[in-house]
Amino acid sequence: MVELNTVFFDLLYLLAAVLFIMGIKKMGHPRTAVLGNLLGVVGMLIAAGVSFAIILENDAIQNSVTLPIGTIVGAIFIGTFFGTMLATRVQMTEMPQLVAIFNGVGGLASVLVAAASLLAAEEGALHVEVMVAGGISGLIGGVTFVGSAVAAGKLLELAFFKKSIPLPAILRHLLNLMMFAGCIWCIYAMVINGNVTMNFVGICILGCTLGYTLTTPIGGADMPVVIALLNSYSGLAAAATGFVVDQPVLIISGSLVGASGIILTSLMCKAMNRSLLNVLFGGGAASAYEEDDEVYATVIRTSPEDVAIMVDMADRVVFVPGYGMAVAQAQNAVSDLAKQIEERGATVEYAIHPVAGRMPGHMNVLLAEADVDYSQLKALEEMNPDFDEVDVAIVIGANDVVNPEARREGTPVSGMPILNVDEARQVVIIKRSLSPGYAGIANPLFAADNASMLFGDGKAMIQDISTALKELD
Amino acid sequence: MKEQTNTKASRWLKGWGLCVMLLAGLLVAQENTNPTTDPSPGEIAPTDQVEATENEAENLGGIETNENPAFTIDRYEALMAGGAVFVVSVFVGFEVITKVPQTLHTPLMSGSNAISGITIVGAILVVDDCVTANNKFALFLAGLAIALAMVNVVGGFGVTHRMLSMFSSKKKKKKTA
Repeated sequence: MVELNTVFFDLLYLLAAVLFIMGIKKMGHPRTAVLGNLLGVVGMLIAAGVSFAIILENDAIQNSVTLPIGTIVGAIFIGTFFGTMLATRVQMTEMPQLVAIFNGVGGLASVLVAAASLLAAEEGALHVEVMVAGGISGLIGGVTFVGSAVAAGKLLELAFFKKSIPLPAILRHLLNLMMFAGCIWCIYAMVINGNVTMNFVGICILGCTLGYTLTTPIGGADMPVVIALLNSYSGLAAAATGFVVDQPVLIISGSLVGASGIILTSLMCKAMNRSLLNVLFGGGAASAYEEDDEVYATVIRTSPEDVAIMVDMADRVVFVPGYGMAVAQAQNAVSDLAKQIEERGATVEYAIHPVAGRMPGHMNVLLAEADVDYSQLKALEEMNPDFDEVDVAIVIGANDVVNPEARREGTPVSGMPILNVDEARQVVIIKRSLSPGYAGIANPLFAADNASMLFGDGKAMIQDISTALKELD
Repeated sequence: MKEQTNTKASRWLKGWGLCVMLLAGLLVAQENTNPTTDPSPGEIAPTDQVEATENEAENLGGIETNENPAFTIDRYEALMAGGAVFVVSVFVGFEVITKVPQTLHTPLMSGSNAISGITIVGAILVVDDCVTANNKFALFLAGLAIALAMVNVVGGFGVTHRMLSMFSSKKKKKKTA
């Protein structure tokens, strides 16, 4: 007979799963997002509480309470401490790294649960499906962990992660394929000869290496895709762990996260008009600098003072931020300038490309922190029809997402939806130099008749425009 | 306007219809997993299993496993139910998160990542096995997993809340202004 307690606990787990589903649904709408997040918290409290209650009931643990309960409570305490530190101390500008780190931590946790579960089980008493699930959990978790670590390292600009493996692409793919096959073989061997520990360690090592070799060649503007994908993987790893410990609540929550990550990934891919495979295995885009001089023959330079006058006369000003704004930490300066412009009677909006920055929604978070109103942030499809009515478009730190070459055939960015900045009456591009963006191609916008370049550090230039605007009176 | 509410309603129905299916799948899973979590199949044949694995170890890569721990109908059904839960949940996920505005992309990512910290349930439950097997190393791993999952949960929900309150406080300010 099933004990009443078991039923009660299972129902509570179910309740937690329902709360997660509702929470994640509400997280998709601006008005209910906060509530959605809180529902998630409640679900997690219930789930963790039930697990603790189940553990307390166990006979073996009742015989020796101190060590296991001490471990659990201690670990919860340590985790809460570091989690709170990270959540409260980290700057909004460091958000991409933080999200990457959280993904990695989730992946590693899944691997460790699978490892503990396989090790603790009696040798030979392990069920086939548990071994297979454990192997898959080790593989996905390992890829997530190291992949996220590499992504975070790249975002933190650590020198070690900048180097890519000096291997031709085909060899790299072959190597990856071999490692993947190796993982599958290890799972097979684990099932056949029952040597769990060795094979699981093998899977973890191969999975981690795979995480490294898969992520190192990808970088720069493809980062949003990678982060969204790793987010999805961290969920799938949790789902695989759910099969190991036989808990539907893990399977549900994990696959929910997996699905939401996949949705974001495909959104990001669409925003670049590239397939996921192309992003993952295409490697860095080939660079072609040869025609730069020709393209940039007619570049017009401008000064902060000229921009100030331009902006002063405008009725509608649009800022187009990119990763460069995050690097220059210019978001507060931009927000201040925008307020100044508004005081002079013009409307100010922000046109944000889906893949601007290094993670999905990067620019929105930065600008929200800089006190920019949510209603001023316009998405690509909202803003594009209106660009011909814009008086001044100020591009700060964006390049490929405003490159008109995307409308032509046969360039690396062909077909990518771009912000039609070139349709604005006047365009100012704030940039350090004429160097190409991640796609490695020249940007004809910089040399367009209605465009002028303001060379320099984004933050300094914006502040100079602000000062110049004040002096106009 | 009317059309819009119509599609909204139908999407709502579809979403919750899927949720109900998911619950049904879960109940089936529960029904099927409970017998297997009973100690009986594991304890009945430990000697057989040890012999089986020893045999296998001797003639490596030998015959496929009729001698391995028997793959009972119960376990087969539990596995399939688990698979069904997985598949349906993925679809529920797709259905529930349809159009996310760009502003919410990052909070959705960090929030859902916090939910993937649900591994904490697995990490806590596995402590049970670790103590039963008296395996200190496994217990250490489980403890580490709990700590990491907790970082994920607390950090993820915390930072999501921080971001979301940043968005919403601005809205309120504008309304009061």
